[in-house]
Amino acid sequence: MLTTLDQSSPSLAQLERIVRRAYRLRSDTLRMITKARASHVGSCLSIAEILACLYGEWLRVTPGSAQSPERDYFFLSKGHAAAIYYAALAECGFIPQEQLASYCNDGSSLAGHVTKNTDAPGIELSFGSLGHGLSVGCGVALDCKLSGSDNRVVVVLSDGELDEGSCWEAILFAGHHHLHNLRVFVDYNKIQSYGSVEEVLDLAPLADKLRAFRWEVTELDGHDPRSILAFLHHSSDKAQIAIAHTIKGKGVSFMENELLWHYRNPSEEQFADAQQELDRRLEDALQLLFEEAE
Amino acid sequence: MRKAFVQELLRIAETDGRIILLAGDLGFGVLDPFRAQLPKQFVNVGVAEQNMTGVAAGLALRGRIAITYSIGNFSAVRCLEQIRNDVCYPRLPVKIVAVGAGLSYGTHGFSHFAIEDVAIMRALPGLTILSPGDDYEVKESVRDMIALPGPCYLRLAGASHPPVHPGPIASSLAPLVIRPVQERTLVTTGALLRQAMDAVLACEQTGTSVGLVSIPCVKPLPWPALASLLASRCTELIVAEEHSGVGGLLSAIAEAQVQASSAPSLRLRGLSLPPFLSTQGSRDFLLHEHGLSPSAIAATLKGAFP
Repeated sequence: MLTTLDQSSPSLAQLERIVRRAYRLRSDTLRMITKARASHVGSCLSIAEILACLYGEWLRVTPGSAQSPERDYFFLSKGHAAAIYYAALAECGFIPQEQLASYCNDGSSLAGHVTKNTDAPGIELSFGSLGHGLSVGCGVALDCKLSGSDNRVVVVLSDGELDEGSCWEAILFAGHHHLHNLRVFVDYNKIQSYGSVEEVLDLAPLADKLRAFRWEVTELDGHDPRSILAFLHHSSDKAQIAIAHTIKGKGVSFMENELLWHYRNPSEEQFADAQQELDRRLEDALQLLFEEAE
Repeated sequence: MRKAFVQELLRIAETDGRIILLAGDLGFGVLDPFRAQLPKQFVNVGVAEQNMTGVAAGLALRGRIAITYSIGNFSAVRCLEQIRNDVCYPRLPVKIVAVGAGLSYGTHGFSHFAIEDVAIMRALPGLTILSPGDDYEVKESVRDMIALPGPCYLRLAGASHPPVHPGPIASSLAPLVIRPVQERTLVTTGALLRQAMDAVLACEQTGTSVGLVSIPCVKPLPWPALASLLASRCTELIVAEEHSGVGGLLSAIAEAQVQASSAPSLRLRGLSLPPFLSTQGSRDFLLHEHGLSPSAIAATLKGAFP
């Protein structure tokens, strides 16, 4: 169920750029997580398009402007998706591409959960425990609003994260204070970490809940760049949230919709299979794009 | 102490627009002057301390000096993880204020006794802990808290008592000698300073001289300064605190003494609150029940070393 937002359509060039970027983010993530024998690959893959639409596209922040008071802010509240976030930062030159191989290595600045450090400018704050990021985002958004500054603040939450009461404190706060400069994504991949969302703590009807808290709510396909961009471009006098319907492990068929891939690291073989599939699916995706354009 | 806190904060905030005060839906009467005069530097965030702390961190990321304000354990213990992860580890300029330290809210019941907070907060890295003993210490604590670049926890009693210091003090970060160090010396922190002073005065009236030192800054404990003050004469140090015997000022001093490369050879004893305080009642009542009234402290000071 998608909400149509009236925005001009993105160009073919932009869509191609995003599709290719999402592909590279997935590929980098798989490589990093395989090498590091780390968890959370499923949680990373579900937000590839969201990150690909932000970094290098809509989010106004670069390595050069990482300290600027006028920059846009991004907070990965679901900090366990660190791998794909580091990959997005590398894409945009915040960290060198080569540094990605050090993910989770002894002494490396690239920890398994997003960690702010001097080696990785562009990371605003560390997140590993769920339920913190939206409050921080609200604080930034509040100051920007009070000072009349037009920064945008983006927060990415997981669905399981919405079990945390602290999220709802922040949701109440943002709704009450009309933090219209806030754009939040819920990575609604329907699987949390020891069961499905439906069986653990069902969030449905989620859109209704968020509207009741005075947010402007958009439901969208979290893997469709057009919808994501339309959401980002839309303005409101309310805080805005996108319930991004996604697939945990999206992009690699044997990982999709599997709780297991919240935890398991791919073997070298599985990585090779996954990479091949990503390559194939990229070709398919690009072909579809060009066909639609005609 | 609340009034002294607000007065001093208001005075500083009038000319420092970075300061923004967040209240957890408390401050009726007390925060009114701040709210009225600096409405753009005040937000009542509601009864939501975890969010209050996260919002404070976000404000601090924007260059503000964010102050969170609530009572008892609510400012600190309720949102401990936010303080740890979002404030302490990133060393953000967030100042956490708790009114009602110790047994200030004695009749409210144990939910409102802030008597483990020092122990809990001491474990957090990079957090300065200020526990002023009278209104002069409060005012200086506020100044020091704002001037310090990183996270601070300021715990204040509610009502004020007659000040112990004769006038303004130079710094809340150093040990403050109230009565010259003697062989037997009493050290304390927070509002119990008044009871400690009264106990020492009572001793003096019956011919016993006891030293008295106030420690408004429990963390970082000014150990080198304190040790050198004590080294000259003190052999028996009694640490009185309106706090659990676990992890408070006594523990901080004991840790410092054990870890110091050279320390005065001191015998160390604590006067503190037991676990599971019985009942409720006024602060004076509860202090008396648990050996921390002026007369009980004086008896300890005059007797054999406990």
